[in-house]
Parts: sequence; C-alpha cells; structure tokens
Amino acid sequence: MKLYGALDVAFAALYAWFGFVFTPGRSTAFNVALAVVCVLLAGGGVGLLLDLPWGRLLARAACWLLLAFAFVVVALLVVSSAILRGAYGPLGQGISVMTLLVAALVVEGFGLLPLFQLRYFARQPRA
Amino acid sequence: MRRPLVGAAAALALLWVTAWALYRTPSFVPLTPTERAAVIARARRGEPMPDPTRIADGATFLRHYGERIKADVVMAVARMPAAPLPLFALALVPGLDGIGVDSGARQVWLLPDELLAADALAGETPLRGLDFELGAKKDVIDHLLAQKLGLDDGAFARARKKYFRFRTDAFIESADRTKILPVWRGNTPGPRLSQQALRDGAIAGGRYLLRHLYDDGRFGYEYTPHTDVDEAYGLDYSLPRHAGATYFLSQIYGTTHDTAFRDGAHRALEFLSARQPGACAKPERSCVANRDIGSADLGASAMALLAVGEYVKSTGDPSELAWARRLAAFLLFMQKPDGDFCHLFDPGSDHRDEKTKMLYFSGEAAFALAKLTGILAPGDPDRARYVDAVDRALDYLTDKQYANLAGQFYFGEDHWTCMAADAAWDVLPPAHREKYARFCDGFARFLRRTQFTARDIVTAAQPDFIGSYGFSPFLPPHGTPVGSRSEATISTYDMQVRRGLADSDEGRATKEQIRLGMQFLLDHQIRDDNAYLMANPDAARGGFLMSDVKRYVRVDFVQHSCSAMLRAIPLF
Repeated sequence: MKLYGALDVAFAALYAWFGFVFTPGRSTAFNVALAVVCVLLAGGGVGLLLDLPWGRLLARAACWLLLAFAFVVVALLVVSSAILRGAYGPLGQGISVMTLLVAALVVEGFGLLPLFQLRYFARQPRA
Repeated sequence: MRRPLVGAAAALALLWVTAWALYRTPSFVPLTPTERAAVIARARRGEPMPDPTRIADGATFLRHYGERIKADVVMAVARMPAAPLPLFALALVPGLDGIGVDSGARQVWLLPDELLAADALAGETPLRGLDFELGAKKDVIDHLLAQKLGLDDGAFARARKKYFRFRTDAFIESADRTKILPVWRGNTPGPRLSQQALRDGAIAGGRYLLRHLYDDGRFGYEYTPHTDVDEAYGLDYSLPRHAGATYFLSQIYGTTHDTAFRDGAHRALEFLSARQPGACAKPERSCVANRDIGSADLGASAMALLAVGEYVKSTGDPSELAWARRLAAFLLFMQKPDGDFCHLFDPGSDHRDEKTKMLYFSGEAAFALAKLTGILAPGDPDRARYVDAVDRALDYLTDKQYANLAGQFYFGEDHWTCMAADAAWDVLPPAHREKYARFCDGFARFLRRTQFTARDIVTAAQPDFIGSYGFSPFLPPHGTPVGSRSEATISTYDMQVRRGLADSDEGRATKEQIRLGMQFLLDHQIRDDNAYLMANPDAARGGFLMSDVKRYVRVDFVQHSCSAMLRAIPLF
C-alpha cells in the first residue's frame, strides 16, 4: 500500500514537472485537467502513505482518471492516424512505427501504474 | 483484466475504421487525355464555363495564365478536421488538395493553386523543436476564406462552418500551347533523363544565376517567383552560398566556354575579394567575411577557395592562384592537430575560435583543398602540405569524428567529405583512400535508405516523391538535398568505378540512386511549362524552388542541383 502511495506522489510530481515546467502547454483545458490529475494523484498517494481513510478512494479515482486520460490520448492518436491515412493513402512504415511508439509511451507513462494499482486494490480486502 | 483490455483494443480498432471512412479521400480515376483535351477545346472555343457555385465531383474551374488555359476538375470531396491545429495542418495534402468551408447557405473555397500562390502550405511547425516547416497555415487559409465570405477574421472564427477539402485533376496547356500537361503540386512533367537534358538543365541553372547577378557582384540571394522580387542584400546573405554559386559559374564555363559564365564568375569573385576585413587581409593568408558581422567563418573562405580554384582550372588564368594559396593558408591555419578545423575566426584579434562547431565547414574545407591539389603541378612546393591537410581532414571526417558508440549508428552531413575523397583520389595514399571510399559507400547506402523509389508505398499516392530524399509523406520533397546528395553519390560512384566496382551490386545501386535523383531534378527545375504561377517566367527559368509548396529560389538550390546535373552527364 505504501509503495503505491509513494509511486502516486512521485508520478504526480513527475507529471506536474513535465506539464507545467518542462513542456508547458498553452491550452487552459489541458492545464486544468493536468492539475486535477496531479492533485488527485498526490492526494491519494499521501492518503495511502499515511493510511488515511479517504486515501484509497482518492487513489482509486486518480487511477481511473489516468486510465481515461491514457485511453483518450491513444484514441486521439488512432483517429489522427486514420484521418491522415484517409487523406494521404498509405503512409509507410515510419508513420505506423511512430504512432505505435507514441501510443506505447502513453500507455507506459499513464496506463501501467493505474492498471497495477487498481489490480492491487481489487485483490485487497476492503478496509 | 484481460476482457477490458481486449474491449479497449476493439473499440480503438472500430474508431480507426470509422474515422478513416469519414475522412478518407474517395477513390477516383483521373480524366483521360481525351477528356482533358475536350475540356481545353471547349475553353478554346470560348464556350462559357463559369465557376461552379458549389464544390462537387465534376465541377470544373478554368483559369488563364497569359494565353495558356489551365483546368481543375474536382474529382473527390472529403471532410476536413478543423482542430486540433497539428491535425488540421497535416490533413490537407499540400499542393494537391483544395480547401473550402461550408457555412450552410454558402460555400467558398481555395483551389490548390491559390494555396500555393499564398504560400499557405508549408508554414506550421506542428511539433515544436523541429527546425522545418510543414503543414497548412490555418491563419492564412482562414483569412483568405473569410475574405471570400466577406467576413473579417473574428467574424469568420465565430461563424458556424464546416471545413472540407477536395482533390482536382489539374492540367494546363504547355507553354507553346501544343500539348496538354498534367499538373501535380503546381508542377508539370520535366524532360526525360538524357545527357542533353542534363546539359540543358545545368546551363539553364547557370543562366538563372547570371540573371540574378548584380553589377556589384552580389547575387539575388533569394528570389520569390510569385512576386518577381530578389531579396535585398543583408546580414543574412551567406558568403559560403555566394561562393558556391560562383564555383558553379566557373564549372559551367568549363563545360560551355560561354564567356558570359566566365565574366559572371569573375564579377562574383571580385565581390568576395572585396570582403577580407582585418586579419583576413594578411599577405600570407586570406579569409572572407562580412565586415558587419565581426567574425569570419571557415565555410566562406573554404568555398571562396573552391570558387577561385575552379575559376583558375576552367579559364586557365593563373592570376588568381596567388589568392587561392592565401585562402588555402588560412584553411591550414584553422586546421587542428586531429585533422578537424576551427570554424570561426576573429579578424579583429587574429584569433581562431577553438570550440564552436558548425555544419558543413570541415567538409567544405577538405573539398576545397582537395580540388586545389588537382590544379597544382606535381612539383608545386605547396602541394604536399595541401595533400597532407586533406588526408588528415578526411581521416577525421570519416573515422575520428565517429569513433564513439553512437557514431556507429548514424551519418552526419558528409556530402562534402565524399566529394573531397573523390577529388583528392589521385594524390592520396592508396590505403587511406580505400578507407575513405568504403566510408562513402556506407554513406551512399545510408542515403539510399532515405530515398523514395517506386517500391515505396508512399509513392503510390504521391509519385512525385520518387528520387527525393525524405522521411515523411507529409513533407513534400525538397530539391536541394537531392542536388547535394547526388553530388556526393556521383563522387562515391566515381570512386567505385576507380575500384572496379561499377558493375557490382553496390555500383549498380549507386548509379540507380543517381538516376532517380537526376530525373527528380529535371522534373523540378523551373521551365516555361511549369512557371505558370510565376510573375516573370523569364527571371525564374532554370531555378529550383525550395519545394513545390515552398516557392522561393535560393542560389545554393541552383548550385547544388545544377552542379550535380553537370557532373552526372557522363553517366547517362
């Protein structure tokens, strides 16, 4: 439990640094969504670390939000590649590989932690 | 856990198919030559063919360019995503698609030629950090569409509208009005590859440079055919590129013996010789620099040496040889113990910058020195020093600079390197030159992997990519890389011939690589037939655009392409 709490806090910090410092975006909607994800994840992580009663609930919500985010990003990638394939015809190996690589990075960066964490929660008896 | 993942994958697959079906370009068959001729014939007869009021399959647009008639017949209409911006920028196939908006009551649109003329097709940087522009400029397109709707930009942004794109079958009368030519991205088919076509193309390039050479010896560095304007001389005027164009004028004089090229080269050399500030004008060494910039770069002096050397070689006039030796002395002064070169020099303090590294300059210096060794007699007192400098430079460029783990997996911009190895072949030690030649075999192979051929799936939909070098179907091909890479590949092939490898698989593949590049250049050189969008075809003739969708000419585009064409003549 505490391991996931620490990972949640670390990932929240990483997302915040990436999204607000390293590559700050100009989209207000994106920034708000990122802020919500970071706050939920950090809050859930702290809750799990301190074994607070609402920690697991918050962490679970953050996990579902992250999964939804990863799914939406992958879906947008899929739609983009379909539109470009429709406009240009065959795009070649390079574009397919790039799309797969980006999708894999998204799953790795946003999907794996919540998947493992939700699986862990599902196997734990409810408090 | 497995079931939701499979469900998500299925949902994504369904999403892909749906999006593809909604946005794809409907398949179509272009008009036959007979059908195209019928459209032009009706126009020639003066039959009224007003512009359609809506875009639909078969809608025909006629435009007159001087006496010539051009037709665009709509073949397919498709949806166009309005957002996000990167997707909008890439979803319009540049030069082939027109774009429009449907406001319900009214449609307005921009034909592919209007987008080309407005320079609206290569302006976005969808991925920050990339140093090239691609994709449609939404602000420019929106502004033009708003004007057609009679709205200001704000009202247009607020208006309810749907974007769409459309593909046309485009064709135009040839310049002499005897043929009907297909138009692809504003371009028409060029002459078929032959020795004569290459020679004519190279000469046309030389004439382009002469037309854009001013009395004071400067070139019209960048020329915009749409406005018929040469860019004014300024701080971003590149002396290495000026010298490269001068080199080519001497090259073409050497082939044609047309004194106009010799005189032009001499005038352009005088422009360079007047730019030797401070310590660049020492009796023992010379460098070339813009006085207003404060530092001298190696490339300007290296390319100046190349230009002077070629002038001496092609004219037989030894009067400039003394300056060539002073330029060569500067290159030797800039060479480091490991064979590489310092790239910047301060003419004020007479000091070289040991740290700053820039693209191309070391290879240019090696090539210039290599060419110089070719015009000096074997007993010349300086020749051995120059040969040693070239050998050490090539050792660095082909070996030492790649002597790390990452260096085993990529090549840099080594086209000058391979030209230097070829140019110095006769004076280099056999064991050394064999090593350099093998490096160039690898470089040519590496380039070949990025050259589009008819076997590439991308060229089925965009056949004009064949022969060009690139990595993306979104970036219409640029001519200059074809020119510069062909120069390097021709040198590599020369070395393969010298090593008896011309008939090997490697040799044949290299020659095919050159052949594809040459046909691409012939197809993309500005001729009367494909200059219909240009304000002054006489001024543009012989030039090369940056690409079909980035429509300006720079002197180095012409130099690289035409120098390659000139050198390829004996191969075909």
